[in-house]
Amino acid sequence: MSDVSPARVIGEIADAIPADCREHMIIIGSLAAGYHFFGNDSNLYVRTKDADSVLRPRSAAVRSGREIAERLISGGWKQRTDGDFGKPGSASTPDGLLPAVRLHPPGSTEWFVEFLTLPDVREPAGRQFLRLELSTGHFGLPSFEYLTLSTFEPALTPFGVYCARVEMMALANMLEHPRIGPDLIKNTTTKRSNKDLGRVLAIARLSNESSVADWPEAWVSGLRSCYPDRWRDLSRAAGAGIRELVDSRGDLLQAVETCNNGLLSSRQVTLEELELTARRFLQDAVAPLEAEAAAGSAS
Amino acid sequence: MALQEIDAIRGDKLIEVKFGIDSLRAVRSSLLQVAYAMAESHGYFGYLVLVDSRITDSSLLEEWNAAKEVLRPEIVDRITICTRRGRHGHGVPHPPDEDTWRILDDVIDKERAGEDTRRMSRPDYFAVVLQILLNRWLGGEEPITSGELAKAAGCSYPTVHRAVLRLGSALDRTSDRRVSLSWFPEDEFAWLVALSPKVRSTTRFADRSGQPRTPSAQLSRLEKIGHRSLAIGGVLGARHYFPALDLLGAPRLDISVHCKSQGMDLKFIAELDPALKEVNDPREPASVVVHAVRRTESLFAPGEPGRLPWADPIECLVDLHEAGLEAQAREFLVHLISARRG
Repeated sequence: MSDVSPARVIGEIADAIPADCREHMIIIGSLAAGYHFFGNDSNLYVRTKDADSVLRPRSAAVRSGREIAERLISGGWKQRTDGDFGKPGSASTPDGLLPAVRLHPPGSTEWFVEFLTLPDVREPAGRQFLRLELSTGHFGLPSFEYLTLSTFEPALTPFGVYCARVEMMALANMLEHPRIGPDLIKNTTTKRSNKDLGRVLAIARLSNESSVADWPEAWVSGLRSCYPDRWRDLSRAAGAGIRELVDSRGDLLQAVETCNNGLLSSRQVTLEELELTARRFLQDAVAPLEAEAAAGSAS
Repeated sequence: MALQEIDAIRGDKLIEVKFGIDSLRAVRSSLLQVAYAMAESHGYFGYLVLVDSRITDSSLLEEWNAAKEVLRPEIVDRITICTRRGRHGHGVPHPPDEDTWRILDDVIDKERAGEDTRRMSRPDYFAVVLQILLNRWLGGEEPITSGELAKAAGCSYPTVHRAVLRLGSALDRTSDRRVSLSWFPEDEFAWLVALSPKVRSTTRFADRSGQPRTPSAQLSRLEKIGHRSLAIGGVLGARHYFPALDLLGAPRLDISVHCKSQGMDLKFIAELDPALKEVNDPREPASVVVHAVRRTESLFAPGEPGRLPWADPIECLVDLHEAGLEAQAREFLVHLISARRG
């Protein structure tokens, strides 16, 4: 983990890629959230190591991914080699075992850019890969079930690339974790769901209350657009993970730790404070979403 | 909407808690509530938890079997009726496992806390009568009979008689035995201020989230909740009666609750803001303060359409004193006396 300036990192990525590819790139994750909250303050940093970038549309992701990656590689960006999947795959590597494109900027290993793409809605939900053949080997463009929602109506940055909206990332994270799952973040005892749901609460805490009150309407719009057949079920299920987190002191404590080491590193919270943030969030954002879904099913 | 009305959803469990239910009709109605919620959303197990109920487990089993005759099997087979009496817990048709009991007990605790109706001691009727007479004096109203006063205060004629005697020479008596204050009784009012936290059952709440909401933000949320027994007092109320009050903003939100019984319903606090927690240290700053108004007539002044009413001027004045805003309280009192009709 490194303390990075969100605006500097996004600017650096945008400068390094072909101008006509910028509109196809959406930054997601803690960098996008950090840019939303601290973008105008060069003294505030986000503790992260990856700049997750979604390439859209999916039909052109391989072409634009190749164009962008080759431009970065020729500009001195280096594939991250440590950890699992540190070596490029080959033509014989199964799609599911292909490494992701993870490129460090020239002269730095503080952070890396990683490419993803939108999921194919006709395919079963879950992780999917598109094969990306580069001059350095074979790679995969991963996609996840709720990435389409995460990147719904993203915000254009002055750098020409887009950033996902914080409320959409929060909703996607909630849907990704309807329960506190047992999966741990690699080399830690922290549950993945505690980290991701903790980020939802960090986003809620950093947002002003009037904007949080507007989220249910934006969520319904995103859900209806991305999942017209099951938006009501998703709306009703969205808050389950947060409720479980609030009711489990041990899990909430992990969420506090990941928040204080991430988005809330400059505005640390206690267990009680994060719990109350969660209770307000459930009351002001989740309950109206559930009510909207219930009203929709009654009409 | 049934799902919204369920007390708690924990993982795959829908939990409805009922305290002190002793009639099978109430059990039946709660059972249906759980069943409706389960029909709205698939994959849940339903738990109706009866706390301190005197209904026997065999009666509950009969009720569950009766439900089985009319409800869809995929719903009723996933419903458990649980009883909790002290440390003893049972369940029909099958008792929940230990992990489930842990979750149910947690929900019971939270519901018990949320059921927050504060028991209060018997009203101090001298304080009640004094407040009514003070408000009538400020409003320039006609003298009032002891019977009318007893009705407005919610007490007996002898109780009013004792209160009136205590006011002594501060009281005017007409030939037809009606009474009114002769002047503003400073000593009695000072007594009211000194004892106001006790006689008004003042309950103080502070923010524990680290992100306190402003009193005006709390007020606009409270108005959306639209509780019928509440009125706004304190600085905001005083400013309604005296817009020139010399204070910028408001340090806290004072709420008056009209209580016709021995209980003060504080459930609206959790609805207003789950980050508000009661504080007992009088030196700790509070952001929301609630006072009981204990008389038959609330004397609340209507607010604008869609807004909450205002607490009476004397309530607002006492609120200012309680908040330590002595200069503003004096200024407000001078204004009230000078603006007095009659």
